[in-house]
Amino acid sequence: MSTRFSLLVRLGAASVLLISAATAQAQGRSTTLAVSRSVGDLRSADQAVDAMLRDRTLVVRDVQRDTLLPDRVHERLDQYVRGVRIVGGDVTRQTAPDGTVSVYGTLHTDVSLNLTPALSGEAARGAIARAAGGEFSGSSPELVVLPLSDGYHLAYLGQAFTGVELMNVYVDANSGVSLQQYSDFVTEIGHGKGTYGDDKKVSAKPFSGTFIADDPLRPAALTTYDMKGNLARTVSALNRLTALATSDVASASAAASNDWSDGAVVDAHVYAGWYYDFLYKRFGRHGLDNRDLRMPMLTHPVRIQDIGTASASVIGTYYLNAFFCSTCLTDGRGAMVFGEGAPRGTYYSNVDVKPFSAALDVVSHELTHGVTANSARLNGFQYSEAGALNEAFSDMFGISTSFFYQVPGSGPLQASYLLGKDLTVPAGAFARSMSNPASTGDPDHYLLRFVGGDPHYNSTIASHAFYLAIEGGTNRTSGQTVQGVGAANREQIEKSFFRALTTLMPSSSTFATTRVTTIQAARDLYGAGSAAERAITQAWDAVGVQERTAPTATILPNPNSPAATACGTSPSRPQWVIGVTASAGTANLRVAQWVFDFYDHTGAIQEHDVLSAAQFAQFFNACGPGSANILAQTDACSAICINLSGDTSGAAQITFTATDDAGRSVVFATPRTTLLAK
Amino acid sequence: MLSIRIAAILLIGLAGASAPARAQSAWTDRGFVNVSGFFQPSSSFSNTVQPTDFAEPSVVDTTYKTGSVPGFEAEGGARLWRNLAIGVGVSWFSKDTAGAVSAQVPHPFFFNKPRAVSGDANLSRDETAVHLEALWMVPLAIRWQLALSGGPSWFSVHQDVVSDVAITQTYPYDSATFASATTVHRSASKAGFNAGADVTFLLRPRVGLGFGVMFSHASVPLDDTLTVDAGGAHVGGGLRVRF
Repeated sequence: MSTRFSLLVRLGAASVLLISAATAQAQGRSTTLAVSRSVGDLRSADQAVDAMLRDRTLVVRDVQRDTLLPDRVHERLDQYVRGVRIVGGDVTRQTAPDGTVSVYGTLHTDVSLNLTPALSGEAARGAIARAAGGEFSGSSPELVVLPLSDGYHLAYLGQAFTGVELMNVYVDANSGVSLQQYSDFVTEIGHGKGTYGDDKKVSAKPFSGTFIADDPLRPAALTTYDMKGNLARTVSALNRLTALATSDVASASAAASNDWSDGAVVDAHVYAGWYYDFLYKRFGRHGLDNRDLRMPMLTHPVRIQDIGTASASVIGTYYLNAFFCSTCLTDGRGAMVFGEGAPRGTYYSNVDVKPFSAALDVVSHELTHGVTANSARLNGFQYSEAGALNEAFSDMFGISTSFFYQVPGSGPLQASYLLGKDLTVPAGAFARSMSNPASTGDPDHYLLRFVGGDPHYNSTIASHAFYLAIEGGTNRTSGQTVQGVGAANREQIEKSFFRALTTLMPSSSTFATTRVTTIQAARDLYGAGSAAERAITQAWDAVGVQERTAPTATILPNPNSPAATACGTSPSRPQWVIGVTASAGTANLRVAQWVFDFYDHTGAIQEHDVLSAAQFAQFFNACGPGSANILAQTDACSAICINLSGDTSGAAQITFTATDDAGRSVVFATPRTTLLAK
Repeated sequence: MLSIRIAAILLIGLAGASAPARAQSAWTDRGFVNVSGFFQPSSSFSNTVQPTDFAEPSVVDTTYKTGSVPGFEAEGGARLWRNLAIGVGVSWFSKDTAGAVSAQVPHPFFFNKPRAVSGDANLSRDETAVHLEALWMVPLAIRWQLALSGGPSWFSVHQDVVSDVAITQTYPYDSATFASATTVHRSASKAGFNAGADVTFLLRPRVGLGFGVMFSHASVPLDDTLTVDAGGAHVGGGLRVRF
């Protein structure tokens, strides 16, 4: 294969998993459960779950009554192996009076791993701090089993504060090597500022001769804080070192008045209340955790006048950003932080970035992260698709909240499918489109996803499906048309997706899991064959998401033009950079061989390269540690530079041969992908 | 309007009946005292106030219904010249009245999303009037006397006015129910006029019974937004003393 293709170290700007060959890993098997009364062997899955509950390898994390179907109950169960939790090994089970309705999740069996860590908890704290480049934060690290694509790792999970962000860090419990880390700040990348001068009602509480932004009318404690530009105090509060005080709560403009003129405070406080109301009115849900979890909103974390001297990370986190942190503040129950924005001329010369609380869909987006954190979780698994789905659901219900309260339109304070439209003047300068993702540079089809990439980027595949299921239309990539339920019936799609998120989806969900659970939810609510079920099924088809029951492989993104610059040592030009993804189905795979076929411009075979398992492990390390294994429902991916020995057009195809858990040989291949010169 | 018409008919009728009396004799008493109970027919008025609730004006409409009101009246006077007398009278009534309240109460979280509530309010009203009267006394027969009167009046009105409503509401506050009306007590005075006729039947030379009708009126402003009609037509009867 020598001169035909070469490995690129990273695929774009993806956050790659860090793993050392020195880490200990073990084998096991994962089983994906996606069964319901109409699909799969529900009885045996249900019995398996019961058996695991009896021997305490499954432990109930949460039980909630269904807010939409009163006779249903939803359980969330975490898997343990000899008392150690398996990350992502969780199951959701829906039951009705006449028995189980559905079971979704991933279970791991035959995990052969020594569960006695070489590192003490104290040593793990240091390893976690070093891995993140910050200080350890919170209580003792948790010993967990972490499934990665090369097998199972005994790991410590803990948090460290970098000074800007709170990081969740997995380190190997024997070597201390970092296995994975991700920010606990679920962020919305954007840019915004200010209010639009619209009248809003502020639910405030009298306190010490004035009024403070502490909502006395809603069941959940909803409090908006004014951090007065004190970044150090903001960071200390987020890092659980400093408790927020009543003096931090935003107050009315003048003593003894209940008039509020600080737009950032007003918007944060009011929109958070509206979002709480939206959850209740639309879904019957009581707040972020369905138990009226308190909702602290932090505004003015920095001062505008400091933007010129702020570091890039501070600007990216506290000025041009909003985020939800699920474990922040001293009680560890989470907080929302809204960036200060950047008035025109302070950072961008031609864009006025408003405070990030200025847009209802953005506030609702961040708060939906709170719902997700208290239900399907979906966070921190960027090697899978859960991170993108987390963002997608936040977009869906951010937009849904806007349509619940605002009239449709493209102007300020109007509802549209352009998330973040109101953050900037001109409108939508940094927005994300759900109706036409390509218009904002985002993918509208699963084939265009960026494996291991920015979750915000990949999110539009799912959020576009949500859009199509409501409004209908034709997907620009697949050309498939969806018969939506219509805007007047948008509630059906919103409820189906919300039900899937909050009750059916496990933390390790993929796009495929989301497909089956949203369809299941529509079936639960509106019946088999309903318009909602049809629309959702068509929408997932249109964006190219199918049930991941069998292995698949793709060449991404569409490599119809060669790379602008040479990417390998071969003198042959042109060259193309292609992203290759091999995805397992419901079973773990061990790749034995892969074959790279090159075709010239006439379609004749030009070269046939047979490659080994070791070479697969060498190349496929862009969205997980390089390994010949692909765990069920996960991807292995690579960025590869290829040429056609000087031919300016042709095609390429890769065929993989693997064995599954049962020892069966499995063959799957990418489509033959056309390569054209510029 | 109905009560005014009744009074006018009575006056015309009594005037006709007095024609023979005028020919018979002049009124010779030096003065009189009348003590009466009266009945004032029902009346109603409505009012709208817009108190600020939840940072937005509420709209509170109240219809005040004063049923038939019993009252008390006393008057006395002296003959001035021939059949002409001058007198002064005081009338008074007090009653708890029903107020029908309907309101549009703003939503605590949203502008322009009012909740409709309605209910009844118990409202008190009392009214005192002092009437200065010029009277023309007409002996109709040996035992019958007619008195025609008119003059200025001074009304003092005390009225409970609905200023807002109290509601019960639960989250998410999209609806509310009426709990009670918030009232304020208003008092005001204003000059008006009176006109009336009274027929007396003398049981004894100086004591008799009489009945009459009276119409009095003044528009009394209780506050900047509410002006009420005081007085009205009333019919009554009682003791008549001549001296």
